[in-house]
Amino acid sequence: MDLEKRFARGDLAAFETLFRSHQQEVYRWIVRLVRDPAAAEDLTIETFWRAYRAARRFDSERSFGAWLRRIAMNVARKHLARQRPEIRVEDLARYASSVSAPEDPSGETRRVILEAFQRLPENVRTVALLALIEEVPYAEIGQAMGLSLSAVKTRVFRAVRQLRKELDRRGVRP
Amino acid sequence: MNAKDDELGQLLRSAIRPVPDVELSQDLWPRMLTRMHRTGRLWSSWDWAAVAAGGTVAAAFPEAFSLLFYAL
Repeated sequence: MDLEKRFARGDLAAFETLFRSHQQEVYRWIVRLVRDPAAAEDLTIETFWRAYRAARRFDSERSFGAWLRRIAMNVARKHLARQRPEIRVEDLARYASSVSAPEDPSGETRRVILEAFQRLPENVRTVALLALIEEVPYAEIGQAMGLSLSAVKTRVFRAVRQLRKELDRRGVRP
Repeated sequence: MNAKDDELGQLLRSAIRPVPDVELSQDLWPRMLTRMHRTGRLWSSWDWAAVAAGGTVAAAFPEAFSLLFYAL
């Protein structure tokens, strides 16, 4: 019997094997959203815990990785929703200070961009973060969020329109 | 995305850096096991829903259970 089927029947050894082969990928998905490595580790465990509890509902004919990514997205989004504001400016800027580039905007410009990004509605911001910042393919985003390709494109379009308007209003132009 | 959107994307990525290819600092399986042992295999919301549905049926149609036991 294959691993996924054994997992769906509650086999702990199968779960351990799947855990070890998918933990890195789940962690990467979560850290891209929450942008906090320590929190991402806790949320990775939470993701697998939920998967384990829902094992009987897993359809072993479908992709285990895709199912897991969907759970991970929900876990990460719930975590962010509990925070006020949902994505903290310091988390958005976390990786900015670690890599310097000649085209780095000034502190004030960066603050304006971060604030404009924060103002996006949550469902649009999540897609924008993955599509525009992390450059994840639209199809992958759709699969992880349970959205059609056109719904992902619509949210990216809305994000671009709102960001452009807000940045323009505050005198920041690409 | 068109060229203008690309420029906007670049501006965004200059302020909000993409997360680099991060690796887990440790294998999380031992923590997973601790979590599982601590909490135990709890009932899922579906399990609770099934119990609630059974309880509702039992309260509304108690005679259904005598029929069920008779059939068994």
